[in-house]
Amino acid sequence: MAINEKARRILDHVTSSENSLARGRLKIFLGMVAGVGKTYAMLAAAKILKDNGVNVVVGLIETHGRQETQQMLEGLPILQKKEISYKGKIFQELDIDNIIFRHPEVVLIDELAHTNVPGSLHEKRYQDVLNILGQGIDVYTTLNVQHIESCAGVIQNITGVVISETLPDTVLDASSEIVLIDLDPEQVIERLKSGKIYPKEKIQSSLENFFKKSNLVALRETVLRLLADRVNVELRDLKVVHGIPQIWKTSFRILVPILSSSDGEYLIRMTRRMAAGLNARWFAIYIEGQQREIISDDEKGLRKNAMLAKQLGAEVISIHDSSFNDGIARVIREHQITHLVVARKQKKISKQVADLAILFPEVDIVFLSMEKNGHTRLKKRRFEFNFRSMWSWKNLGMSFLVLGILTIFLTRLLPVPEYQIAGMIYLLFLSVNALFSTPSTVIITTIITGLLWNFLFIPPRYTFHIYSNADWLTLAGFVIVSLVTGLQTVRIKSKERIVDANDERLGFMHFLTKNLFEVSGISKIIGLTIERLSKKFNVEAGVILPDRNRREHLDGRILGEGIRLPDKELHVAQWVFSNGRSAGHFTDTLSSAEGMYFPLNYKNVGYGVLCVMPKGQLFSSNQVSIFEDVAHHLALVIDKEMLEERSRNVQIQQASEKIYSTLFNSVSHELKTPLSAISGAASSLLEDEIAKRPELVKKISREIIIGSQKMHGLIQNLLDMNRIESGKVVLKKDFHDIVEVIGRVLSYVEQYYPERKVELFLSEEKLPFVFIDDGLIEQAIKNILQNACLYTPIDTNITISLNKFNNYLKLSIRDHGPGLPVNNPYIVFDKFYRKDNMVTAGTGIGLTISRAIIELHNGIIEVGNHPEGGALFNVKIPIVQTTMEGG
Amino acid sequence: MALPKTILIIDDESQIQRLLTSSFSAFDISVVSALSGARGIELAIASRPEFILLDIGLPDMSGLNVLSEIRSWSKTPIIVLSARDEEDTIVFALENGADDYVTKPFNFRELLARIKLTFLRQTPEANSVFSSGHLEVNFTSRTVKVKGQEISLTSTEYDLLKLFIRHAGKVLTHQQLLKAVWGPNAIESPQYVRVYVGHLRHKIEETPHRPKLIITETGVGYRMKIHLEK
Repeated sequence: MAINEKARRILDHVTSSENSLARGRLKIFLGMVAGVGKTYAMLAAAKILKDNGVNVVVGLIETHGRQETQQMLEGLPILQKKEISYKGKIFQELDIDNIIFRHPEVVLIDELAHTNVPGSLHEKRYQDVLNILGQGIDVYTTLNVQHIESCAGVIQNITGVVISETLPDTVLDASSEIVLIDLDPEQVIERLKSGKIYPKEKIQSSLENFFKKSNLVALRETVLRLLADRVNVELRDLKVVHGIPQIWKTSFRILVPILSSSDGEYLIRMTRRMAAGLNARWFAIYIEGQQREIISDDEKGLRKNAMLAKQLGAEVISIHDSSFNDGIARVIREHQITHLVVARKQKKISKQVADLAILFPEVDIVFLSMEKNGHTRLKKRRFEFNFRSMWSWKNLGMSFLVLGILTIFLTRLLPVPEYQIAGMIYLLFLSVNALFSTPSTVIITTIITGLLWNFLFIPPRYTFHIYSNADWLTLAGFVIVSLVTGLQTVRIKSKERIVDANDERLGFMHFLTKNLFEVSGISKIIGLTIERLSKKFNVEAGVILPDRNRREHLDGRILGEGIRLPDKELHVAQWVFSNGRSAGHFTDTLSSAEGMYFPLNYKNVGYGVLCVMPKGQLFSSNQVSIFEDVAHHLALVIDKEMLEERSRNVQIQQASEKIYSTLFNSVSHELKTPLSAISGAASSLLEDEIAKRPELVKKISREIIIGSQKMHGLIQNLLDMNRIESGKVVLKKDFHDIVEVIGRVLSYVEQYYPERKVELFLSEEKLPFVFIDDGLIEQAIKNILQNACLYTPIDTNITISLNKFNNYLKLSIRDHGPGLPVNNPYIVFDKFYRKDNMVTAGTGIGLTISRAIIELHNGIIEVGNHPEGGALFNVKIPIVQTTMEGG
Repeated sequence: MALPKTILIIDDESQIQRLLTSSFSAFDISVVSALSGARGIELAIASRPEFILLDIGLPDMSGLNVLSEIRSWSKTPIIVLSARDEEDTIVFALENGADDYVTKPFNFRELLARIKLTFLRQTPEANSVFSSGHLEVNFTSRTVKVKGQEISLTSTEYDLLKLFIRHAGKVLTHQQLLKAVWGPNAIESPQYVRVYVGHLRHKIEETPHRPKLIITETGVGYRMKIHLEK
């Protein structure tokens, strides 16, 4: 039965978030058992496509030596496989790159549940297929129902055969069409007997094991039920397209605890079916314990089940609460759980569950019976001390050693202490010992110590016999007290360790978050992250950034170490970068890689790859997710940093635009003023009454000259400033007498500001020549003086003093005006700074130019206010030693 | 008589041409206008002016080329007009045939004075006595007096002073001074000139750093000013 078109369209809508129009479509040929004719049907369908002109190729087909299948292959182009060598043998696996390169419309790939040989890009073939689908290529594939996760457990139970290769149900969700190849069990057995499924040698064993009629019937039922469920799901999804586009899941939320055993697996699978049936979200919860060097079987089992839950579509939550119940309670509250699934191992409901039931009356509790399927009783959770796993010979040995020394010490002491005192000392020893011991050690040591105490100290000494009853009680009390305090101490210590680890982890993330936001500069950010990560987890971490020129490719360097990755590792990193997903060791993609690679992705922009090389230790999935968090966070910070940089650039641009607009405004204003004076004056000269009076004409003409000189001065300033700023000033340096230069400035002042009095003080008669560009220096000093003339009262003096000062010539210009802004006198050098927004006099760039000129001569201008009032400018110009001294 | 009768003005700015034509007409000077270098050369040949004003920044050909072209067959006095910050070009022009220069925007009075002076200098003078302001020089007796007091000059200083006086009113570039005083094969830097001018100033000027006699033309050279009053 093929699912109808409508439902398929709906499925297309509802498939995972990565579903885009460009994705290829997956068509699964599903059968209940091997040999029903899936591959045959697939090939037949392919042939029809080909006859209709569709570009179909064969990616990989397993014929299992069956003739009919082999014949169907004829006429279809077969792509080359990839040869991978593993443990000395050559295996033929799917060549994904080739397929993508060829880019057919449809590719045929057999056995979706196949596990790839290590060294392949992905661990499982279905991941390869997902990859190909992502490239927009349609895929036809085959699948046996026993390989589907949610069914595998059931089928294993039914048939007794261990199913090793499974794929998550989400892959089924990704398919656009499922074709059921159904065959009556009788007919299957017929086919088997006639050798059409397996070769002759295998027929008998198959009939006895997997191909029993009861099995086949059950299998058929499983498939049919599976597909029926799916139809239900699709019909519900219909609502999505036509109705409110809300979350298509119902409001049921199921929570199941992850246990370490096979019971745990059953629990998870059943919950999955329940979730599918109720169309609910489901969560799996597990406790993250302490790190250990060697991971116990329990830990492995836990992790396996956690992964299983994830694969089946659960949202896995890990908690660090020391009490399981507390953790469950918290999750129930936070995620608004409606159903709780628990295992029921005995007739009586466990206290934990009862407590939860009381605490959450609105939550439905589902008791899954374990015994129905012949499961063994659940083992105790290991966070209540599992006796066996906390055994340590070393610990025991040490305790005995110390005990032995103590005993010798006590017995040799003269006088031998009273037995009560000895008892106290032993008690003390046991209390302290508990701080360093495992529970088993505590128990054994207590017993031994008790015996020792009895034998050596309690009267009668050197026997195990005890005289007084009171002493019996004392001994009993001793043992009980030691046991209780000892075990309690151990428990507290282990809780402490969990809390510490938790704190540490949180502290790390907190620290990283805080620091990263304070650090600026991308390389600093990356450097800090890598350093912290490496130190905290004892790994070698690095970040690989994209190539500057070809942004889709990674630059092979690792930032922070400067080492290049080996090509093989680089491929993995490149894959991670291109696909935006983690890969490497401890993940389920490319797990044969040495390092772990996490994409630095934020809002779908890839900034690089975080590479973590373990130094031999193993990492739990929780820690791997910490790395993922760090990577994500790093990407976030980088994104923020880039944003800030862009914003800074925008700000700089805005600031420079502001300066330019101020400049334009200033210039146009400054030019208009003298210009209007000029045109006014000139037009008045046209008046006959004025024109006939020569003294008037002269006067007015002078005004015109003054006006045009002002304009000329302004334009000159602008040109100078432009040249200086663009760095195009060529200094024409030569040896000059600075006094002469100052003299010229004084002439200028005399000419344009005739009312101002300027005095020159020369300290030494003969000053050395300075190596300067005299024109520019003249300009610089002129600007300072002009400034003094404009901003100080007309009747005040301006003094210039000149003297030699170490290796400099110091020129001090002082006025008696209001002085410079006290807080920041250097503000006068800012472009367009003008005192009190004076509308007259210059554009405010004269002093800026002065400073620029002096600095070009390697000199400095210091400004401040003279203690007796007025502004003081100190210009210092270095004297370059010459052979000629002036004079 | 102290002024030329015709002036050829080679400048592409028509406004300046108009202005100068009007102004010069008040002095009975007729102006011939050329708006380009090529036209200027043509007119220099055709109209045979007594004076040439040449703008260095011409559009079609370098003013310097026009200068050298005209100088190759004419001794007509030439004053170059230049923009500010073209000191190198001015110096080059002065050392290659221009008699003097004026920077734009210019003062008409100054321009006229320079034209007068340059025109006068056409006829070499062999005066034995020179005076300007406080300075009195007698070439025959080789005496120099400042405010009536005789002062002593080294021979270099005297040569320098004599050179200035001979070309009084005219600008002299560093190189020209060097060559004239230290000989055509002088390899010293212009620095020498500056130093000696400094020495000279100290001796003959009232306030050496505010010279009234030997004026610095920044970036170009020096000019001796003639003061007619004491």
